[in-house]
Amino acid sequence: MTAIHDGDGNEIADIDLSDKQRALLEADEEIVLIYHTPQTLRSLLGEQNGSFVLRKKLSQIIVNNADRLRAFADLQRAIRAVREQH
Amino acid sequence: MPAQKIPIEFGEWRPDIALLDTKFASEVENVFAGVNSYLPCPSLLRFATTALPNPVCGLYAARTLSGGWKIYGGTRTKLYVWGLAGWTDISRTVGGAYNVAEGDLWSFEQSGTKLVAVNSNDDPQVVDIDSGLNFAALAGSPPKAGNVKQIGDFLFLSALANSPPTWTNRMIIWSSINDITGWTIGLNLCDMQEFPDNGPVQGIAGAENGYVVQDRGIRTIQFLPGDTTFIFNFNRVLHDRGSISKYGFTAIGDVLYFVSEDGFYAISGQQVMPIGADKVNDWWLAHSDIDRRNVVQAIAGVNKPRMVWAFHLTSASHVYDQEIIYDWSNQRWARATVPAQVWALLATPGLDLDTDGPEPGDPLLDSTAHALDSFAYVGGRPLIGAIDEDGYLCALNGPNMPATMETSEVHLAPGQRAFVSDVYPLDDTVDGPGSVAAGTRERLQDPVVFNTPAPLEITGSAAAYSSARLHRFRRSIPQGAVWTHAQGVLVETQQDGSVA
Repeated sequence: MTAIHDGDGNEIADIDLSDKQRALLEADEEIVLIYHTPQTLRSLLGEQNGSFVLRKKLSQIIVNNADRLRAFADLQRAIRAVREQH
Repeated sequence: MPAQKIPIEFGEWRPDIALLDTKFASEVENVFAGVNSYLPCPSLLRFATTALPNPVCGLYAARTLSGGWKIYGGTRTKLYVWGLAGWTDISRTVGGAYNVAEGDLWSFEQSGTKLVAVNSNDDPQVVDIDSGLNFAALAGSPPKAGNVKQIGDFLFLSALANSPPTWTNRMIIWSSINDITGWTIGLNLCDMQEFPDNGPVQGIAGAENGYVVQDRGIRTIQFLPGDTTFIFNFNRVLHDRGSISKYGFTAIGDVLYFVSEDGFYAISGQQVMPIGADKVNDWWLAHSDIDRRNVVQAIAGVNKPRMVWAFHLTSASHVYDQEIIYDWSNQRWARATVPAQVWALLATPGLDLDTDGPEPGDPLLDSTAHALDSFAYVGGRPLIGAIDEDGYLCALNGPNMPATMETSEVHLAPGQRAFVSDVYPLDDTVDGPGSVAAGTRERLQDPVVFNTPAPLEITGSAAAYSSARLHRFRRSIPQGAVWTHAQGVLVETQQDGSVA
């Protein structure tokens, strides 16, 4: 899990980033993350989608839109919970 | 009736239909089917001097950034890469020996510079084709899978190991777009799909548009660019038939070929073509080990328009020992008896400039055989390869296999017995011309009895000297003989008892 912060340095969420995404951030690249409710879970979780941008600033990973990151983190928690139950 | 010469073509091999007085061949072996002839089938020729430990259950050729090729092999416990010095163990260094289930095969797929290898008992493995030393677990914690396939910008895992409720074999999962280390469902288009009916998913086939192959159904996969809600559209095109085998399907272009419970099929988009019906389906069902039809292996030839299915002939077969071959350019079938542990598409190794080695086509550097920039030095010519019974890497480009072709059964003198004196094979066999045997019987209710095979004489004919109401002719061409086409036989015959 990688801790993501807002522009003020406040930690917003811990999320899973892939090796490729971490490598891009390490190379000072901005990455766009697109999220959505998985097809098979829409009837349980509703339909959500959005995107946010991450970049590295000093030793922190910064998000450009903290609300969307929170929404994504909430959605991921809900996905995990539903998949473990069903 | 004076003696006459009657040409009998071998014709198309269609063992499933009644063959009396038809233009179809009743039997062929170790040949390819041409438009109006049969062509020789080469044998497996070893091009490695060291063997993999048995049993071998994986073989794949991957392409390097520089355009070269690397050949990978797998056993039930290890993964290897092949080089001129032999096989090198590049198994994972963490996690212990692999545990491929008995009878299962590794599934390999190249994705960019990475090679992914999966089997349903181990975590998916990955190695960097250009610089990687050993395989290691694929990042992102993807599920265990029996099949891996790249469709467009996504890596698909299917034939998932059952671990409900999280994963079942009715689910598939695809990676994040252009990121085989991204397996977080709901992120960067990574998602999963579950198919409630049509049984377990055997695998995914295709390239840009794909197919979900289940054991009782086929669905098409279509990427929906710009649609982050659905990502892929799945559309069922066949709901009662699917692939009986985990490895018995592959796509050439947009055409999916697969072997079902009742034989061989092709699907192009929505159109289903029963390519084996009234041709070879019944023969295959009668000549394959029913207990191992779930591991029939499909290979798509890339240098010829052919599909090959390797299977086990009987319960006593310890390796794949029979291949049924479909030529999709002329819709004709043939078969071959080439034993191998596993088959794959490979590529010819390149020739280095400074050798005078024993490789075919590798002349001394100072000869004038090839210019230094000749294409002949560049490897990569596609060929079908295999690991033979003894564990050696081979290519299907050895001396020709011993070939057999048999005509349909004919009444040469309808209502009468016919005497056959000579049989003149219509083929161009150069070395070891082989023989012809006449198969005869008086009534359809009698068994066919073949005469002792008669060798070809200096005249190019074989002395058959047979008399019967019903005749068929079996042409045998010996191992290693050089030939290009075999069309049939020319039979010299007359009504028996008459004077020529």
